[in-house]
Amino acid sequence: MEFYDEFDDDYLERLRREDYWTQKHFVAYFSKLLHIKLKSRLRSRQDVEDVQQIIFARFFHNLRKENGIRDAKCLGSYVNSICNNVLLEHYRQRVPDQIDDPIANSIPDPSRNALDTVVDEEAKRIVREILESLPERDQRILREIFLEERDKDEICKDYGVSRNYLRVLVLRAKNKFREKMLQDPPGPKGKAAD
Amino acid sequence: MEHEEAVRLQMTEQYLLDELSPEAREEFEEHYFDCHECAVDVGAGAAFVEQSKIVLAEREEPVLASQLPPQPSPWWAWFRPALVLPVLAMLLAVVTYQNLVSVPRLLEAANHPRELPWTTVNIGTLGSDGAVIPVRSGEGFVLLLRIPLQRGYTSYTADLYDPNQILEWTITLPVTMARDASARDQRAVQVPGAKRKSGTYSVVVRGATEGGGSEEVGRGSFELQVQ
Repeated sequence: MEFYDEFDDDYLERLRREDYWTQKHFVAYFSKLLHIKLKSRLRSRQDVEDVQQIIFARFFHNLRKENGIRDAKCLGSYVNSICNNVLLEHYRQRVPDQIDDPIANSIPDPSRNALDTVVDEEAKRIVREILESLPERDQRILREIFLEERDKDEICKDYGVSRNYLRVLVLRAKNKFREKMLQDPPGPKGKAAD
Repeated sequence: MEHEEAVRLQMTEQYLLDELSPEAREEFEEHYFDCHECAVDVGAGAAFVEQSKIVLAEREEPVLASQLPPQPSPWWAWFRPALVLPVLAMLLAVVTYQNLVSVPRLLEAANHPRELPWTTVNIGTLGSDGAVIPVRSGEGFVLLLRIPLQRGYTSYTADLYDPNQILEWTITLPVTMARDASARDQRAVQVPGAKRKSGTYSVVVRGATEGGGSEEVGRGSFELQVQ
């Protein structure tokens, strides 16, 4: 994921002019953040994708309005507020007894390309390294938190640790992951020098 | 929310562990949508969690033998010495008892003449019910069936019904050629000993026709008195 230090007026203006690369960056950047947020609120992948599409469509529609977005520094907050509104609308429209289709959720996301797959494989390799470097007990704790989704108070009781221990465990693992991903970013390698 | 505060409170970790209240979660989301540093942090954390689930799921969790579900024993497990030796000893005792006690008794009973209780049952005759046979519990008896001779049957079947009208047994009997219309075919049927109760038993005789069908010839009854 590429990051700008901050969104400025120039960035907003390029977005308004429908500059291809700026739009592409904007969608890639916020897709990741929206996906994280929406995944915690919506159960099916299809719902996440649908809501995300509506958010972007609404953002670009508002961008073109005369009284639309003015402050580039608030771009993130603006996207987040659109996300909250669309989510509320989605909850209202959702059929109460609508259930998720586990089969549909298990099918690989067709929107993911080969590069995403390479990135995932590399991320998986790094995660495997990090997990293997942890003591057996910490590996089991992470397994019970994320995979088995056990109650965290029970995990703490079983292993005789505090909630803060869990946070620090996640913090360290996450920081290692972040560090390694930045050291050895995934993607095409061995590019020939011109 | 300021970035320093988010870091101090370990908001990213609490967010990933789903520990935040709904209000705190929304506040943090509003922050990280605007804060690039926190956005990178949340993105890295979420990717780590996502990939951890895959990696951890791929690993096989070691299971203690005591936690394994009991496996069904193979058929040859019956031949374990702990099981097969007592079974063989028991079989040997049964065979010995049969050879020394049961078989000689049965042979003696089979080779010696003895009188059995008996009665005549007139089939298809009105007013002939009420013959009484006194028997000891488990003892057999003889029924002398008197069947009216009729032309056209290839054989007879006799059914014995207990006092509850439940069929106890069936026997097929040959047909005797009639010399005159008033004659009766007499058949002695030995009824094996069984645990019977006192009451009125009935015998139903059917004649098998040449066409393969059957029709009732008649019925009779007797009173069994178990002593």
